[in-house]
Amino acid sequence: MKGFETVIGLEVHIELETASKMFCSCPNRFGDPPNTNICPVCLGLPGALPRPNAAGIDAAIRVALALGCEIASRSKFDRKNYFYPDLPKGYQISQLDEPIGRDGHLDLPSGGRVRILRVQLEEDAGKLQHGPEGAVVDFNRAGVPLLEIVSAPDLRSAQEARWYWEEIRRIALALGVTDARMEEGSLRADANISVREAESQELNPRVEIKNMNSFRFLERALAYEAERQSRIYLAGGRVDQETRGWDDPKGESFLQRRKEEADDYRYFPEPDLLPFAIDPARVEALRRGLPELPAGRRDRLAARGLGEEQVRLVAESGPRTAYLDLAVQAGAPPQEAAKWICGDLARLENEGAFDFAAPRLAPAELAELIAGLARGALTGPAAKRVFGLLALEGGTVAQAVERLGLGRVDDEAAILGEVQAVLAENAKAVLDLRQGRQQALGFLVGQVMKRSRGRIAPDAARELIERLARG
Amino acid sequence: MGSLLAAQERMRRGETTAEALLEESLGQVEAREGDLHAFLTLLPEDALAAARQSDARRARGAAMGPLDGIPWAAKDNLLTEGVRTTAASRILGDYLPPYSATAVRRLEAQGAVLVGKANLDEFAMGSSTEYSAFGPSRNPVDPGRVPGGSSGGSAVAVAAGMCHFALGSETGGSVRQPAAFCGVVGLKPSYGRVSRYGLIAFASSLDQIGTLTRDVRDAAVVLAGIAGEDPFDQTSSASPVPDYLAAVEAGGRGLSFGVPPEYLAQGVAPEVRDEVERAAGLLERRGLRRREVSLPHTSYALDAYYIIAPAEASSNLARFDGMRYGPRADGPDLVQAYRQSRGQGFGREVKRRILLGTYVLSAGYYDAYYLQAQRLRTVLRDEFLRAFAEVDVLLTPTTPTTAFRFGENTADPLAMYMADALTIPANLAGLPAISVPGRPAGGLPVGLQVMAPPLREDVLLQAAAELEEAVRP
Repeated sequence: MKGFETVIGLEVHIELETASKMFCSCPNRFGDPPNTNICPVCLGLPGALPRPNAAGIDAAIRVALALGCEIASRSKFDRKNYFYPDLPKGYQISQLDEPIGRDGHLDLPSGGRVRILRVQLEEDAGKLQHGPEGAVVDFNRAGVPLLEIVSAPDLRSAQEARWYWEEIRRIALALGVTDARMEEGSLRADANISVREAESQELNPRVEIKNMNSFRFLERALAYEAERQSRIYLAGGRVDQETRGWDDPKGESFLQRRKEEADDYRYFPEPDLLPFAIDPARVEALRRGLPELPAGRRDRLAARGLGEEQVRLVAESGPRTAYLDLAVQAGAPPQEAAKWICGDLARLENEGAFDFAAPRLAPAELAELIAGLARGALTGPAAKRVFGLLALEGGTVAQAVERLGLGRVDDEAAILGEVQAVLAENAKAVLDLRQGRQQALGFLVGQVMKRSRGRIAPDAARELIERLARG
Repeated sequence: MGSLLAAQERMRRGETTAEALLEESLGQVEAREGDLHAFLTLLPEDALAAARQSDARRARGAAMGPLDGIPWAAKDNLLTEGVRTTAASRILGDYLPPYSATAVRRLEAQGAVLVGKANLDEFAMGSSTEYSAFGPSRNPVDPGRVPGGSSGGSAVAVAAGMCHFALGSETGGSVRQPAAFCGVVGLKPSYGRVSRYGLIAFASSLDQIGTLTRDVRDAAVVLAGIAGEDPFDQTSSASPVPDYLAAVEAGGRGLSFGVPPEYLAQGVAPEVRDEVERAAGLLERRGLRRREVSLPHTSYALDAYYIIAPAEASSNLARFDGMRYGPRADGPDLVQAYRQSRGQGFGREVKRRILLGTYVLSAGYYDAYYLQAQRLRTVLRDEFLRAFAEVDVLLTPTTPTTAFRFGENTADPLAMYMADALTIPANLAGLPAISVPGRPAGGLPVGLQVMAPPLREDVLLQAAAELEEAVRP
């Protein structure tokens, strides 16, 4: 809506994929039968005490480093107190004023920069489910380490907010700290959104949309909300600070609760856990161990000459990028390798039939396939068949060509024989072609391909057909 | 019934058995429990089995140590696997824990024979056991008077010969004060010296498990049995556990001590003050040097305590919501279900402290109350450490008065809170402290308190042993 600027801040929650939970040794595993990965600590039984998981703290430090944060030299945990049936202790162990990381940033494709205020470590709650016998709680998730990444209100559109969230996901995946499965709730976000007149520096009351677990829903909800708030201001109304939910089928947000009902969480330092120092040497070691991040991948791939869409599709995943690197190392031109990766290989990956991290079609063989095509040793259709075999079963290009009998036929007499046979069997098409119907030419070339199982180069076949048919 | 070390010696010589010791204990229970109500749960059968196992070990020459075969009692806020543990609250009235506290496990592993679970003020909040949801315990010296609290049942059980020692817990004096009222030795170790795992939390930064025994040497033995780092309690100290019994044997002749005047100020009964002065003189006569020390911030300790302890309690007790265990009252909605379950489950004093704690942690009040109280805590600790640069230990009364009568303080919470005024500073500063019986006044026990620097239980026990010897009639 013209004349208004949207102001969005995001709180992204990532469940960290540690072997055990944050404050006890129960397995941190999704999908097990309800209430099997539980103990006195994560159930909040009387007398139980938390003990911190160093792997969770390391993962938090790595994410904070990847987001350009300053890492605290001293940190501590705090209690956030509230009652809910999925919260076994009546408080959540979280971080208030000494988070693991602060003052980071993330750069947007537009060139803008989103400030990241804090990266803090906390524990997840159990999962409340409503069944036929009423509400039940699965505490397998209770105590799973949860990272909260809080941005400044620096996002200016629903699309930007979506990109920012997706980028955090890509970074977390690159770091290997999460599986980021949206459907399992391991990546969630709360958004704060307000609108203001363009050029204004004031912040209007904000609406919070909580617990989003889909990029698309977030973008739709924020776009809707920006428009709703703009309309209210245009009509001379007032937007109240409140929490709203998103009803995606209806395409509407709805009021959940007003500010006056807001909780007072009575934060105070968690007395069961000692404040802890973070050794700068440990931080440096973790910094040195950071993998290439998505932004770095994108820069590098663009420098290799990949197109914008190719860069996006390859850099999306670390294994795809590594695959491309290896294929290029083996001599493949980057753009040609990217075509296969973004096309047929990505399709197979989506179908679950190909894994870039453990590829049956080795990157060097892809390079070989591309080279074979380039020097004309394989026709396009033959290359497809070789590819199909290698992608599913592995092996070398040479083996596949041998097995499929796909060496290109270069002998002119042999090509002539095949073409003549096709023309003889398709008199109608030949007639059509003579009468100037060009589509008949494509058909006849296809028949030659079929008959020769792709071993005759289509161009050679086309030239010969035209010559003979028009004779 | 003598000390546990004496009983152990008799077993070693074959003059008695663990089973016979247990029979003596249960005999005392039978004779006096009806009047005194020390226990919430008795475990005669489990205890008999444990005693027989101990005797079997001894018979084959595999006795484990000084605690093997010794009858003891656990305050009922210490979890015992499969044995009802209530914290003297209706909200845990039928609670069966799936695991045992680390301190309990350690004692069991050393062959000690658990006789039963001792009464307390609900969730350890009180100074008389009058706030137990299951009725008060009575002082064996004068059943018309309170035994002190909150570890009142533990003190009564030891004082009345129902067991040789007991574990209690402290947040602001809950071991030392009942020890003083009942005429036994009560030791609160330094914060972190004994694992809190399996102790139902009252105020996490103050809570510490302590011992009730007949003499100082027994305190050293029991402490040695439960002290030391525990991977299940991050606040437990990794510092090595010294040989406490050796410290006691060494005696405290070379030590210096101070009697801070702030601990003899108004509110302290004259007969209590006189006994402290008498004890100080006796120590000097035994060669300990007395020096002047002052702890001017002492009077603020009670205020800080009644902010920090309720604040932490309000959070620690949030888990008792009727959702996963304990009685659940149904309501028309979730909020009502919480209100009903907690409203019916908690007693008045517990509710009072939850309200206090919720208030002081509320937005806008946190800095003025909780943060300020924490600052005061640092000031107090620094003040103690300066005093300990001058003297090895401090000698004070344990309580301002001797045991009071039932109902004397229940109408006035502040008067009840004053019973802990002299013990609370050690909890706030994390110091080890012990109450040793002095000469009774008016037929009632008087407790003499010794305090030492953090993690110097060895020095504390040396001085306490010397004091015990000095005041012995």
